Parts: sequence; structure tokens; C-alpha cells
Amino acid sequence: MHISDGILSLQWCAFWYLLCVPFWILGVREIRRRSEKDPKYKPMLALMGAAVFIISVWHIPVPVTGSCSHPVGTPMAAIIVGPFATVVITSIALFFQTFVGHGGITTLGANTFSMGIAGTLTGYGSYVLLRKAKAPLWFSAGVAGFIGDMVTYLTSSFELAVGLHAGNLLHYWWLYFMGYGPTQIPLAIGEFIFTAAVIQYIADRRPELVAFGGVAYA
Amino acid sequence: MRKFAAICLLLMCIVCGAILFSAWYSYNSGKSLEATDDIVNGMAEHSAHNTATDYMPHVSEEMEPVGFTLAGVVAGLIVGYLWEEISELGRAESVQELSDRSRRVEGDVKTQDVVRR
Repeated sequence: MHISDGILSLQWCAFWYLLCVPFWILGVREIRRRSEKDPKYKPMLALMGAAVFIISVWHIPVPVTGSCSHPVGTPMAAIIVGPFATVVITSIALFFQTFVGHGGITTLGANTFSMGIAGTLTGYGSYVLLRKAKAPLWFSAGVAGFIGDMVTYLTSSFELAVGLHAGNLLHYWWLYFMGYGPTQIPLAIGEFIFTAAVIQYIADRRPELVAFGGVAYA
Repeated sequence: MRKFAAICLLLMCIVCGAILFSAWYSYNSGKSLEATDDIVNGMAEHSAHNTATDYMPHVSEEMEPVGFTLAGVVAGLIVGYLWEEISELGRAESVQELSDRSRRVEGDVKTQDVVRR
């Protein structure tokens, strides 16, 4: 989902940046509000930022397809530190990833929108819905991981299709997604297992940390 | 070894093993192991007749392991240096409680000094 500089036109880059602005404002407010309330919040936020940085740059080979890709880690971060704060830490992670050749500075808005906003909010939304439907914690977290991962790549494909071939949107959306999909599905299953295990483990040891994300463990 | 550290070590070995096996299997099958990001960026360049450009300076692929190792070492040193504070913060109810505790410790040290004199 790391779209490189030069792929999208400057107008589209500006559009995706503008779309991110309200989420950044909400994110900064969420961070300020929660860190004033709880001093434990900021170290946890920094830790989640580092985790998102590493997880979303870590290319894992998938033997079935012979290519490699990376999970996103943002649904896990959203459950722990909250969805809008995750948008902010994702942008910071994506900015630093440009120094290791992933993504670009002009496409930072587009990449933030796919991974930090679309992936995070759909993953977190499914987690909240499943928790309200009394689904087990591990299952809710796992589904969040899977959905967040797939939606991130669906959104990236959409950004490319709408930015480059708006007249033939559906065809190119499907075409670009097929570049990601076969490799991404096994990784999204891996992200299901990983997110479920991490959230369940944290909930067993430090249940108050899961409540940071806005939905109580119990 | 603590149970937590043992579980982390075991997980690390499993993940490393899975990655190594996947890489070995793909290499033996003659597959390129190219990143999907690069594949799709290439598709987009080809279909839209534009070229990906790097506006940001970045380390070369060969230097990436060195860069990540350095980042890991620096992050490890920072986290290690602050570990007591971070873990203590996790247990304390609030920063106020921490500062109260440090004030009590300071008071104890002063009392001990007075007794010694």
C-alpha cells in the first residue's frame, strides 16, 4: 500500500492530504485528552507507533504466490490507543518509512488515508460492533486485524484506480487489487491470528490497557 | 528465564523459522519474492505512462539491514535506559503517586544521613 512519489498527480496528492486533515485534528485532540487523563497513555502511544512502523514495513514472503508483502498493525493499535490517535501515529510511521524507500512524501496523504484511516476505522469499527454483539475478545480483535488489513489494500487500489484511470475505475480497481490480493489474503489471516493473540494476551495481563482504545475489556 | 521472556523467544524463533522457510521455498521454486508494493507501483507506472520518483533521500536496499540494526540498537538503548521509569509508570496509579514516592525516598535518605551523623 506504499504508493511511491510520482505515481499520483499533484492534485490527487493534495486531495488525499486534505482528506486526512480532519482526522489528524481529531487524533491530536484524542491524544491530548487521553494523555491529560492518564499519564500511562503517552508511553503506550509511542510503543504502538514503533510497532506500527515495524509491522507495516516488514515484508513477509508468501511461498504460495512467490512475492512478499506486509501486514498493517493499525487495527491492533486502534484497539489499544484509540482510532484517531492511530491515524496520527500511522502518519508519523509512514513519514519515517519514506527514508527506507517505502512510500513517498507527496503520497503521504494517500498512504495515510488507506492505512491510517480506512484500515484503522473499518478494523476498529468491526471490533466495536463485535464486542457489542458479545463476541469473544480474541475473535473481535482478530476480525479487526483481518478487515483492517484487507481494507487498507482495497483503498490503496482504489486510490490508484481513481487517480490514474477514473474513466475505467472498476476495471483498474480490480486489476490493482489483484496485484496485492493473492499475497495479502494469507497475511491478513496471519494478522487475524497476531491481533487476536496480542489483544487477548494484553487483556489477560493488563486489562486496563485494552480499555485505552475506548471499549472496555469486560 | 521468566515465562514472558521464554514465550517471546519462542515466538521469535517460530516467526523467523516461518520467514526463512517461506524464503527458502520460494527461492527453490525460482520465484522472485518481489514486494507487492513494487509490483503494483510498476503496474500503475506502466498503465498510466508515468514514472515513480524519489523526492526523499533514502538508504539503499543493501544498507537497509544496517539501518534497521542501528535503529534497533538506538531504540533498545533508549527503552533500556528508561525501562524502570516506564515499567514503574505502568504500575503506579498516577504521576503524582510516583513523585510522592520519590519524595518519600528522598526523605528516607535525609533521615539516614541525620542518624549517621
